[in-house]
Amino acid sequence: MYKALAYKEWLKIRWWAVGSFILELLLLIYIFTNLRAVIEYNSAEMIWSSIVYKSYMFFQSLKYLPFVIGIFISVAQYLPEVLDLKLKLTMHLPLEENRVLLFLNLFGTTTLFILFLPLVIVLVIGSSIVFPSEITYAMILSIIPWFLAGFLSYFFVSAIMIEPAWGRRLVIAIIGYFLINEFLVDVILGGFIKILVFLIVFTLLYNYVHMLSGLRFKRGSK
Amino acid sequence: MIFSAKLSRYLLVITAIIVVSMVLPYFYSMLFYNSYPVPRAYFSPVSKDFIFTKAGTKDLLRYDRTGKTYTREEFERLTPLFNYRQLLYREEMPDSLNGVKLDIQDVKLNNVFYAIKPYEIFKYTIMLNPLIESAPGRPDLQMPREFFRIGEKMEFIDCSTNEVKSEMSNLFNNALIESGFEFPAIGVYGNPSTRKPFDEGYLVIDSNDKLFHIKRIQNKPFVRKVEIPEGIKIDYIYLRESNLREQYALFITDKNKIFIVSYDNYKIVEIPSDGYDRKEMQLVIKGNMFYREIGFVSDKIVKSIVTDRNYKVIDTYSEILKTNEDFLVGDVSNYLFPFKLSLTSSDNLYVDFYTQISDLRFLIVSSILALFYFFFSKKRENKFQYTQLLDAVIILFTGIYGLMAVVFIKLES
Repeated sequence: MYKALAYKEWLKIRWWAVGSFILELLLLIYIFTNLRAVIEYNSAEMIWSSIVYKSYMFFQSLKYLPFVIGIFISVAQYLPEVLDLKLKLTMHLPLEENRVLLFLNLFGTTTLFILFLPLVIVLVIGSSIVFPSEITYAMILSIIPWFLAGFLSYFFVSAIMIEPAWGRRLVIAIIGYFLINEFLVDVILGGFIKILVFLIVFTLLYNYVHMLSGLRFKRGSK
Repeated sequence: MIFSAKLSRYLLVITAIIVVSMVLPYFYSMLFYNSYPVPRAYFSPVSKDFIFTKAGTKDLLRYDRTGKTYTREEFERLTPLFNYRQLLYREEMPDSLNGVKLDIQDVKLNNVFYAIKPYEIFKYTIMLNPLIESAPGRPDLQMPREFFRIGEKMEFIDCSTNEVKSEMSNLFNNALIESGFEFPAIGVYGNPSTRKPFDEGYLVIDSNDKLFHIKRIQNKPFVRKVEIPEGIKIDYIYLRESNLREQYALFITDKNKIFIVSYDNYKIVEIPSDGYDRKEMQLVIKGNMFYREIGFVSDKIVKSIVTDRNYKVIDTYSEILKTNEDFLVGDVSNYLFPFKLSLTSSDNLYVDFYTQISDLRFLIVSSILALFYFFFSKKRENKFQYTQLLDAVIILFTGIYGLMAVVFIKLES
């Protein structure tokens, strides 16, 4: 049953996933061609100095991409479900509703993970070629919160979509906006190091955030 | 389903509390808080007393301890060493002061001014630095083509190829081993700029908290162990080259003590640091031909210790400043907000949970809110539920934040 459900989910999101992947590819091409040009027209020492002393982030343009992809996948997955209340059918499958809701979100989370992983790997490899491990490490510390913002935008947009009442939708949107804002705050390279583990655990918990709206959806709360 | 929905609700409630406790006090302070000017203290070598400047409503206020105010010209005449350019311009520069002849070059050379802000100490640093050639045989210093790290060994990495330069690395690494350096370095402090009169390399703290001076002289390593007092742990070093050649650097320990590494055979001199807290105060060092002024400045306190050139205390001034906490807006904030949360701080460049916890006054407001909520929700639902009680407890501890959270994200019965 879950296999069939996964296939159904995949049919909904596949073009969005492919689109996101192409977006990532274009962005990576931009980041590294830009980096090459910046080094070529200045000097490697200058770029190293800028990174170490002025927190120059050559990967800055990546910042909002996970956030946007999270919204894409969520919309692709849940919009068709809620437009004609199709989710009601899903909830009437001979499976426990909780598990279905959790499964739907885990499917999205996994998709995001699969989409984000190659992006990170290419960035790390690219950075390791040009820069020493200290800089690559600082880069990883800096981009993790951005990717967490991607998962969060997915979780919150999912909850907003499933939620039947407009007032509550607004409340969830406002909470989500200010929360995600904190993950995208402008700080120096590596600034997140002290609370990174906490943020990761916190983000994982949000797999549950749409459950309340799920219950309300089932009951048709207004 | 019910259980997961409850979990989901409390997740949202906690998130809402976190978010509101960041946003609400922020908007409150934007709306109601005022900025109170921080006075700057100067020690006049003419009157031998402190003189202050502070931003006023219209103009900069200049006044002394008795409250007497001065004009700009009078202030400049009282601080001739600090304002020598203006006095020269007006042709009012005295020829001598306190029986010492004033030579302009001397005045210039002996003027010292620098400040160390808390966020310069508390931030993530990437431990890669360029080791500038100290004896380039040219008038100007040049940025080298490699950066070094001191991890398990000292290594130079070529910036263009990102490869370790093994010959140079071994040379410096062996020099470090010979002088008893314990790898890895836990702090590397220098002034990686070519816009300075000369280069003094880096002061490095090894894993045993010992201090070493490392320089590159004609591509050969210069390593010198600097003897520091037993039992101190250096937290931050400020190294700036100056033609005065009085001190290599100033360092601050984890106990907020301040020391100077002098050019006198690396003698370590402790300077007055009573009342200093590196976590929230700016350390301002001013100096001239006669005095050294050590200032600790935050938005709550201004303290200035004046010493002679050997750091013997001459005079001290300290003033507790009024902040918003001392006014009605601060009181109201203490009643309304049980705590204020922020992930960023102006004194610290790490993202962390910076909480300001209110005194217990908030309990008055929050217990009223909790009681109201409890009776109101009981009446509305027409029955008693333990979750109502839990919500009331949440409100009791988180006040207005909790109330907003539980009202906006209502219980599902």
